Amino acid sequence: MADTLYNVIYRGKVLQDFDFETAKRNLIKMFSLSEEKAEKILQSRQVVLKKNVDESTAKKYGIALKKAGLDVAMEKIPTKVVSQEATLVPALKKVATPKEERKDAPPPREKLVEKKAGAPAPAAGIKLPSRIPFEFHGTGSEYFKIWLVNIILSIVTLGIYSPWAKVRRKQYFYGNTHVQGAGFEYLADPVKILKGRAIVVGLLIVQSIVSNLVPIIGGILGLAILFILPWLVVRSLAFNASNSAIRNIRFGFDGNVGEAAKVYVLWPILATLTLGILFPYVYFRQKKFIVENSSYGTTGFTFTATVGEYYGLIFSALIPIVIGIVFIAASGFFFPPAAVLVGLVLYLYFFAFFSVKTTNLLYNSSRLALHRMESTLKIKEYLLLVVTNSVATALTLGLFHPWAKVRTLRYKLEHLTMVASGDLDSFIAKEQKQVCAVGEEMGDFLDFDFGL
Amino acid sequence: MISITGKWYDNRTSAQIDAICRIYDNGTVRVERLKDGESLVLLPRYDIKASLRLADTPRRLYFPAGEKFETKDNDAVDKVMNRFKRRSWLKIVYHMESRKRYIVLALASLLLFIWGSMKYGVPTAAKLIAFRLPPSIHGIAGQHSLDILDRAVFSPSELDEATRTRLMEHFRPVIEDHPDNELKIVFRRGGRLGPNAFALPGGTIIFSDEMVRLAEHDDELLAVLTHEIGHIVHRHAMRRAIQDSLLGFALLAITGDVSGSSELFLGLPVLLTESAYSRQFEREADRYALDYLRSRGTSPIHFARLMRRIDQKMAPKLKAPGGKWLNYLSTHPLTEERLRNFEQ
Repeated sequence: MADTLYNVIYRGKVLQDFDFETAKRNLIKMFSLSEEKAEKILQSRQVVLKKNVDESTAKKYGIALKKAGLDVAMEKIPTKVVSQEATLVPALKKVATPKEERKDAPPPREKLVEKKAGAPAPAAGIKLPSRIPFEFHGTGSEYFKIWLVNIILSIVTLGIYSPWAKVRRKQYFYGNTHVQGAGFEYLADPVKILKGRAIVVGLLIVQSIVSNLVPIIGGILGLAILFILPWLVVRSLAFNASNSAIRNIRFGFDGNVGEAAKVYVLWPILATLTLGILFPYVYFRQKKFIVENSSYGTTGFTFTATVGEYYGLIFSALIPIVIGIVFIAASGFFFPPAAVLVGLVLYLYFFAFFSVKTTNLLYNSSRLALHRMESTLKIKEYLLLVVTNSVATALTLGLFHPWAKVRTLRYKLEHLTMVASGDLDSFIAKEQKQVCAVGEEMGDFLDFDFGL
Repeated sequence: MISITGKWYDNRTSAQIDAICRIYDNGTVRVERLKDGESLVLLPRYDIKASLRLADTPRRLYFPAGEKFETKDNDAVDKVMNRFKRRSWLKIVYHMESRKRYIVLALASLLLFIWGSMKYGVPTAAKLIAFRLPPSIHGIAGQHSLDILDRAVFSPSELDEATRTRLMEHFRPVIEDHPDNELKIVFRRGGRLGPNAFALPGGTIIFSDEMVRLAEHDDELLAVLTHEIGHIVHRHAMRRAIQDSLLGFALLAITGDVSGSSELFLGLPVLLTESAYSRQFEREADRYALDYLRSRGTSPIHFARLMRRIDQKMAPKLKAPGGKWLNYLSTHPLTEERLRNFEQ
């Protein structure tokens, strides 16, 4: 048995002398992959192509892959801490020997590939993706206690405790969310949040004093907020992501401020000017911006939804909306107080409708390397949940709130599944870089999030 | 020695290993793989940090090189923390969360606090703010309200010029008694608001045509005027606006996150509190009207007469489904107690 084992890793780049299409064709031929799968591999930031092999095998694969045009690296595995799991691309076993993979000798390679294709079902070698459910273990009564103590301590300390309260609340929800026995972790430092809040409050006070003394400068400051908004959005997303972790690997967000300005300021203005026709497009761009700039360790998320799907979502709501308006008009004609009730029910229905549709679409279109998500919320079930939560919260003058929050989150998480292709052990942590401290602290204020 | 079972994560990859963490009395810490007992890390002295206990969520032990040990055995971790005297003042928070008597005490004091701030805190704060705002702000707010009402419900008054001049003449002494309030009387057709009168911030008082027509004596309208002046003198409109924002803010602070509108009915307590404030304001305005009318020698009974007439006129419509129940009485809850004050 070989003493040292290696992983062969694709580093997210096609080599200089190759273009994407050539590399893709080579990859498809080498491993008899589907076009879609080959594209996914090439588009990811980092994928383990071959796992736990000895040095000479790793070298062979390395050379072959480089000739195919992929930037690959060999990675030494430190101890013998290896899983029995094979690889992300198990079909590799059937690959031809590297010698035959000469780029300048296409005919023999093609022959070889044909032979391979004729071999009994190459797909059978690919392990079926495993379905890993999200689990939520929190309970309403537990959260009620945390919520109550949070409020009391925040009141007693005149709000100074509120960052600790926020961290404790988020830690409760994160810590009770499990995937394959590992819990999520919220790592924000309450002291930083407190500083950030102090800075924001300080700026607001300065702004109000200045605008009282010199109204024009106050107006300019107000406009300036519009300009720093994209920066704040990016900082906020980065703050939330980099303080979230699972399996000792943090998430990350690396969006560009210019792009944020486009999707959060420019496009919404244009959408308003076009009477909202562009709105689904803007919403799509915002989601794409968030997902595609998010990462888990060094691995980036990809977003596969199309604009068409978001427009489809809106159109599917059109008929219920028309029926709703007819209902309101009819009940208003016969018995006006009933119109209020009908309006309320319809409001809750559309709230449930859009929450369910957008959440499902967002998660079903997000990929992490070759792993994907599956969200299967149902409008009827979610509506029932929202209605019971609302009524119970009203009847208890708000005291039901913690239970409502837990019920909603449990429902959402119990309908979320990760469809993993291969195991989840090979994500690699990113070097922690120190980001601009003020931004990170202020980032908490907007509380932008991936959103669940 | 304390042994804790859990999952081990290195500082580089997402690999997950079932492991045991053993902490010896001399401070040595050893993590070994569960499967074969192979050592994953060995610390010669106790040099790990633990996350705070939070309900039954998994606990983390942080190792100096960035590795992490995750466990559900909260009690064992507490034992280690006690053994090596690593206590945080935040431990008291878990203590509070897990003891029934603290929870009951916290709930009782929260309810007391909410009751106290709704009954005294919010109204007092709103009053202080409203009286410190410069008159220009009251004026702007009043103008905005009038614009909105004009667009939404009112139409121009259809009263003839003579009636209006006569009423203005009748009101003049009262208005002259309040030189500081910049009072301005306007007439509008009330539409679905029916017989009604309003006091806007900044001193504008609106009478609806319907109200003027229903009155059988000009002193009845004068009595209503003094009631509305009461609202203006006490800055009720502005105080109501401030109270509403304060209530919304308090609600946000309590729930921490009014996530979406999924809990639409959180608004119900606010609505109930608002109507309580509204009754309070009506009582204050009544008191002002009574005192003023008596000092001037006008009988307060005029106010009660007009109210009773509105009541009679509106009562049948109220019973009919879909009737116009948006009238003076719904915004000015009519109680026998209130009217008897005027009839004495």
